[in-house]
Amino acid sequence: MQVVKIGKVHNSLRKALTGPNRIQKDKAVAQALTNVEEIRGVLTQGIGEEISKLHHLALRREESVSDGTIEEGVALAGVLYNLAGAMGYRCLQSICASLSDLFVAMSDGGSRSYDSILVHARAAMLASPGMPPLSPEIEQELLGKLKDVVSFAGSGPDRSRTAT
Amino acid sequence: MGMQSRNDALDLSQMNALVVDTDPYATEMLARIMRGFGLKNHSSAFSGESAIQAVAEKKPDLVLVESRLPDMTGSDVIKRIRREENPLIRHMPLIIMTGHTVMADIEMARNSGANIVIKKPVSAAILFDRILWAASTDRDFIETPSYVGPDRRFKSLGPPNGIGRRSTDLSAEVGAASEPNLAQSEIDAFIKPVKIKLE
Repeated sequence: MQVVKIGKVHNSLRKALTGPNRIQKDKAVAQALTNVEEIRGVLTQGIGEEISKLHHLALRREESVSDGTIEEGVALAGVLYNLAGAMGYRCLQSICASLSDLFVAMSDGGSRSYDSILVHARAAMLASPGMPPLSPEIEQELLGKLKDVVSFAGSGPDRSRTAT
Repeated sequence: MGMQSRNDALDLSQMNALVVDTDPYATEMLARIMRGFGLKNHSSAFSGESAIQAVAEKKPDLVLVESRLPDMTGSDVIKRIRREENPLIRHMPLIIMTGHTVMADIEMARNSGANIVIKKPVSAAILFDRILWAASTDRDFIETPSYVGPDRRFKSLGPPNGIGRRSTDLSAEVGAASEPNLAQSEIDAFIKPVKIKLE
């Protein structure tokens, strides 16, 4: 017979609801944003450095993209996705999402071509901080082409499966 | 989540949080966000094993875990924590963070026993809401051989459609009636409001 325990448990976070130094949400969020804004320069520089790493990865030109390279690429795409999103670079964030989809497609048995990574790395450069902003039309076209690249690499993830 | 309520404030000054992520930018941003919330004690871990060790040593009040770590997934970390003998560790609030990901990863995170799944990049306002929610929501904690964590069925959506989702749920198959059906007057009598005295 399976033992199933169901009950209330101690939650140490609960004390935060009644503590004497409570901070209202508006004030807490404003302070948090100020704290993050203080390192905007470092984070923006980080975007450039991560894109540069991605470009180097794309230029490796082994026979095919290895499992290790995919793992490295997934991590890089994740860091860039987070940085771009946090700093408000929406187009770059979408490019990184496409890059993540590409690595998923490769892991799932799709074509492991370095060219597909390179095209994403070059697109990321175009959308990086300091570059002239892309017009909405160009941006749409660019993202559409990347989607084609992911589809070509092997059944890009179904949109309905992708979390938004 | 309807968090704009009268109790829209937190005192995290005495709390201790652990952030588990290999991305140094993400850990720095989260640390700054939580310092903005008044949190003074926080630490970071950069792998699953070091996170499990840090949890055992520091017994934080809140743990935020990235879903992808070099040595194991965030879900694996949560499963390990949820199977610790010490209830202080086993029951601690756990938030799992996912990047651009597919729904299957979110399902996996939820089924690992996390209190909350949150999408990166983590917005300060959303993180505050989720911590407030984790602090104020009194969910049942379930311990079974296949799942340890907060009750995943916490929304008031009424009874589920079709067959039950837990192995202990009874079958939803309805057989042929063995007695005469109730008359409308009998049904009305069941649902008629009745005044009762509250003790």
